[in-house]
Amino acid sequence: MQQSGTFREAAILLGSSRPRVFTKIALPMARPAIAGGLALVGMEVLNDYGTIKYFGVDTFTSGIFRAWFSFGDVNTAIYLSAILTVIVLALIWLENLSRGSKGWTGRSENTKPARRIESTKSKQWLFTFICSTVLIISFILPLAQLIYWVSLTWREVMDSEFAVLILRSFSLAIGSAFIIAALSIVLLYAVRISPLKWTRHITKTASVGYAIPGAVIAVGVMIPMMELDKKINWLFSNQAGLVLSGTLVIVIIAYIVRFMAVGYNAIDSGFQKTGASVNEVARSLGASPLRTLFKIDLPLIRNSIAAGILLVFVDIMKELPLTLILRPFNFHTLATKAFDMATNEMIAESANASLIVVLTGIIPIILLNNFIGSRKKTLSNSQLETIEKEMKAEEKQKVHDSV
Amino acid sequence: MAILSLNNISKKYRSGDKFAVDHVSFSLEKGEILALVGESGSGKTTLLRLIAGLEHPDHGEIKLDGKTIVSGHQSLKPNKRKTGMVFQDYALFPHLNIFENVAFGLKGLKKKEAEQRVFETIELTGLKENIKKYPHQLSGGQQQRVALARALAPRPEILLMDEPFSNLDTILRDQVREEVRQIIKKIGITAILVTHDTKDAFSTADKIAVMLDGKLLQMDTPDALYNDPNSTYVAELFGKSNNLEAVVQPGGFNTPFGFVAGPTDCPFSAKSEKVNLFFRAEETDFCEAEEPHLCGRVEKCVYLGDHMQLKVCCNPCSSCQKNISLPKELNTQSILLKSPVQTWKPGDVVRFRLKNFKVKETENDETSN
Repeated sequence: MQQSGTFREAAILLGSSRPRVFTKIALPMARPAIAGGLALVGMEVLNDYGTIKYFGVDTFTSGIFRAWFSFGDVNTAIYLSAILTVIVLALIWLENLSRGSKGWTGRSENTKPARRIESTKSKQWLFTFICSTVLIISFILPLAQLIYWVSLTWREVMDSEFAVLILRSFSLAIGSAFIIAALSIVLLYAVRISPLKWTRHITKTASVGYAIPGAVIAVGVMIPMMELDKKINWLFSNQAGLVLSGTLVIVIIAYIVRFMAVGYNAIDSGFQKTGASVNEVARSLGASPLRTLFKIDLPLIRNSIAAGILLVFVDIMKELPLTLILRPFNFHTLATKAFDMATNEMIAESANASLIVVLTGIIPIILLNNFIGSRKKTLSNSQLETIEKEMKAEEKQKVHDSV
Repeated sequence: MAILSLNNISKKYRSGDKFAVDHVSFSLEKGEILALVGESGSGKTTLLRLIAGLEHPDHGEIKLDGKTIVSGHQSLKPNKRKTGMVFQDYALFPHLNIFENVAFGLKGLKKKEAEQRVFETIELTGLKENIKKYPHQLSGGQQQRVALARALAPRPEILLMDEPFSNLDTILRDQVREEVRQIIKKIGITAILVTHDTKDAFSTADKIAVMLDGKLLQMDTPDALYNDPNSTYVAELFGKSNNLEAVVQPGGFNTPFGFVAGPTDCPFSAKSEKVNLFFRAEETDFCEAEEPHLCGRVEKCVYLGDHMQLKVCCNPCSSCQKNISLPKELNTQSILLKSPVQTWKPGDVVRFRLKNFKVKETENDETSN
């Protein structure tokens, strides 16, 4: 959606009609974005456990669960995980391969936003209808159902135990999000000040976890942690207990592996935007790397850091398969509680936890919208002029169409 | 016959209280190259987009090849006008190779004809060996030529170029400018290019139009614009010049640097006391004390490689100014001279003659015209 408007203008001046501009220019140029979107959906589906379990559909993830929990067959779980990982990586690689040597982005730095196309009244209603149908089916109806169920059951469910559950869920998510943000900053800053080229690749690899389903990560994290626990217990002559694999430590480590990419990318975009020169100026004025980080870089990218923490927080609040496998005995988050109740035929009761998870997911959308809104207010005059130009052009487009 | 004519074209953006393009009229002959020159915000790009049909004027009329394409609120859609455009960032389609980019605008031709047209145009721009490559695999200069080929392939009536050289570095720029002019002339197409670089305009265009605040200040050949600008703004845009205030005397003009013999048919001698003598910094001869001359003192000199630029103020104790009486404020004037000799230093006495100058009304009168 952020394609430069000049491509469209260039195509039109070469005699193209609007449908041709869409099929020959806009759609092919959007391919990487579409592929990215599809890959994201694919990863979410591969990762999903709650839905498929509830509706009884067998997938790789449910297979891993069954092998692990029902049959106690760790090796099969590992094999399935390995196959799934290879499939995911192969898909990413295939997409990259099919793009070939084609370039997909313009070289333009002053990308002009594409102009809105004014449509007739009847078309406006049609588009509004199509878009709102999607919204109603995918969001408003399920939300209404949840609210209805909550209105029926909240008196029984919302007790002090439930309050503790909420508190526990929130603090786990917030704590993990802060750890991930801190690690991301360390990695990214190392890339920035390190003269070695491969540091970038290494840190990039640290964020691959997002492509890998939670169940696979759970299996992958569990095995080395159990080994470590064995060593620790050997050291302390079996007095230590399962300090890693039996506690929240393993859950947090798994969250880091899985959600590093979310925090990393958000904070990286902040670093990219500020550019390296501010850092270099501070260093040339005699500031140490550490002082530069705290006095220059971090204040400049604080919005990106906040966004990263928020996104990770929401992701962890929703996380199910990983938490389900790795959580300590009888430990629940809102997500696992909702799943637990739903599988025990307490659908209406599970809506209470679900609704809270859904509402926390809406927070970042509101905040990000506000952020973008406040950014618009501080646009420079020339930017405003461009926007005004576009608006004027929209009006005139109508005149064009009528001729 | 004029291929393009604009009649009283105006355009206001919603935000602005002033015109982006303010009642502009001009016409262009077939095969001419016009450069629209002005600083950013002067309305030159808007004017180009109005001709292309990407903007719509508030009023006025545009005719292209005898056909009215804009009149009042009626306008022909941009894809129906036969205009080709080269964008500042080239806007090459990144997912299409060079052949496909150039062929994009060809419609209604048989496959063979289209192919031949593409090859012809690509050959013209010297890109034959790159036909299978994608835009990002080409250098800036090559991309620029692909953009030109793509715009030229459908053989438009007029070629529009928005800051076509601004993305190239200095050395490449000189070369590409020359190539672009040759290609355009070879095809014989009419072209308009927008630029803020006067070098681009001088080296590429047959005619130059100077714009300021949406108004067309002057449109003429490069030579006429340089030697006879109609305002200080136009004069300054194309190089260092002097507007020396002088007082009319029988047979010439008194200046703080001495007496300048005037042309016999000077129209100002009868009607006004004060005039401006306009001359370019390089239009002076340096001379010896024996010859009749003007005289001044070097106040500042700047070394500029192939010449030295001197700031010269009047020299009160000079013998040649004995008989000249001038209002006090005129004596504080200084002028800029270009000297091929590089040995000047501040305080030196300069003796010079004006090779060529134009007598103009004082600027205040001029602006009220």
